[in-house]
Amino acid sequence: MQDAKDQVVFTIIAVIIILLFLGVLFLVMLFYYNSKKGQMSKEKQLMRATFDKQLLQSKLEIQEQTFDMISQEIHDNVGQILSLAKVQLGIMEQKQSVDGELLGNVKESISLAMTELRDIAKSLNSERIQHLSLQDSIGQEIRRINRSGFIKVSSDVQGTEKNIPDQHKLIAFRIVQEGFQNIIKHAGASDVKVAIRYLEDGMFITIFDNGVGFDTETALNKREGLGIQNILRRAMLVGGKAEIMSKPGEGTTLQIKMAYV
Amino acid sequence: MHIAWYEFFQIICLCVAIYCWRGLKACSLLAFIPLMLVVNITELTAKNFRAFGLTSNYLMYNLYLLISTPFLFYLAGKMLFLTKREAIVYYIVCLLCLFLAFVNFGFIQGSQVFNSYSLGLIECMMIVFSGLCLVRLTVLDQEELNFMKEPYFWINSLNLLFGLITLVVLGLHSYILINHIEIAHRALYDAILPAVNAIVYAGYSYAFILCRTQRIR
Repeated sequence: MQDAKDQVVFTIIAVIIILLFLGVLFLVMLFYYNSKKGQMSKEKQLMRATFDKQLLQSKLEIQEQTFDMISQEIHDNVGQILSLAKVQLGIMEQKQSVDGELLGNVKESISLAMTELRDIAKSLNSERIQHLSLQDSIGQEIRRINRSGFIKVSSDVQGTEKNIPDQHKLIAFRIVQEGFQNIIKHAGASDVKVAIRYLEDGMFITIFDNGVGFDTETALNKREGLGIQNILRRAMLVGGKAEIMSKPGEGTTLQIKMAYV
Repeated sequence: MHIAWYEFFQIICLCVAIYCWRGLKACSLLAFIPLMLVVNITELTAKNFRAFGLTSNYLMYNLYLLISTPFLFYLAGKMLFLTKREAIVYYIVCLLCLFLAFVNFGFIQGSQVFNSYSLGLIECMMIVFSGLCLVRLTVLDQEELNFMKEPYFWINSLNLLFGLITLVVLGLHSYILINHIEIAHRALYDAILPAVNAIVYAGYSYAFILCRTQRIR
């Protein structure tokens, strides 16, 4: 009789253990499924990030090619025509058949246009940017803007420029250029300060302006925020970071942090 | 008044539920407070049934089954994230179960015998609902969940495992009683269920604390 009872107890406990095992197995399967899902989600995110990066890289390459082409055209075509016009004006001036002063003014205007065009061509030419130091490229861009007389741009450099990879140099310069473009187009600023700091492990470029400022979050969410997003993405492309700090009425600060390698 | 050791876990669980009531509300689990109240009152009165002049405590456990089941079903429904159509079907099934439990209490097994049929039915339903809740929790969410920090996971896992054990142990209640099936001179359910209860209510308490921390976060 006792044996029979023991058998029943054993059977009941065995059934409980088996049911518990099945229950736990079910939970383990859920854990497994959940972790697989997480893994897949991470892979998907990584793939998307890689795709975005490649897309941006292609866009930038195309942009650089376009810039190079425009630069070449300005140098070879428009520049040549303007040079020719200048020479022709010189000949007319020598013949003294027209008003000399007027001709002088026209010549001066053409010279100015040629200088401007050359500067634009230089700033668009990626090979030239890669050849020059970043500091020099930014300096040329600052001089070009200052010549316009609308905005006063000053710069301050701390430290010595390290060996920056061409790609990093080009992207840093394009970000600075985009920053200047934004200031000229939207900020309504009269004073712009550029600070370049070369540290041991990376460089900081900061651009402050005293313009109207804006709400960064709203601008980023809007379609018009594409320029800002481009700045942020470009920096990310070389493992750097760009930050835009602004408030309406308080000017804007663009800070770029980039490693040398 | 006699208080069994595992009842302390139930009392602690009630206290934690009251302390974390905002978290429970945020997680749509506020019904746990009345449920825990019912659990505590039932266990305290059932353990001291002689003090109330009763010959057995089955009436209390039978009433507990009838009173606690709507809360359990309601909570399971909340954790299932039902759509409107699903909710209609779900509550019809729940009402049918409750109706059968009442019929069993009134006409089949009666109030003075432990309602093992009702318990079996309710536990089966709870096992199914807990399983569904867990599947839904895992499948529906797009992101990976940290199960260890998910109160719904803890509650439903414990309900599932508790349901499986009680289904066997209390489903065989009459058989165990008549045939004196014992472990260490104690009825099988008396030997197994206190430990299981302690684990379940400790787990519930942890889940309530998770609700609170999630709300704060």
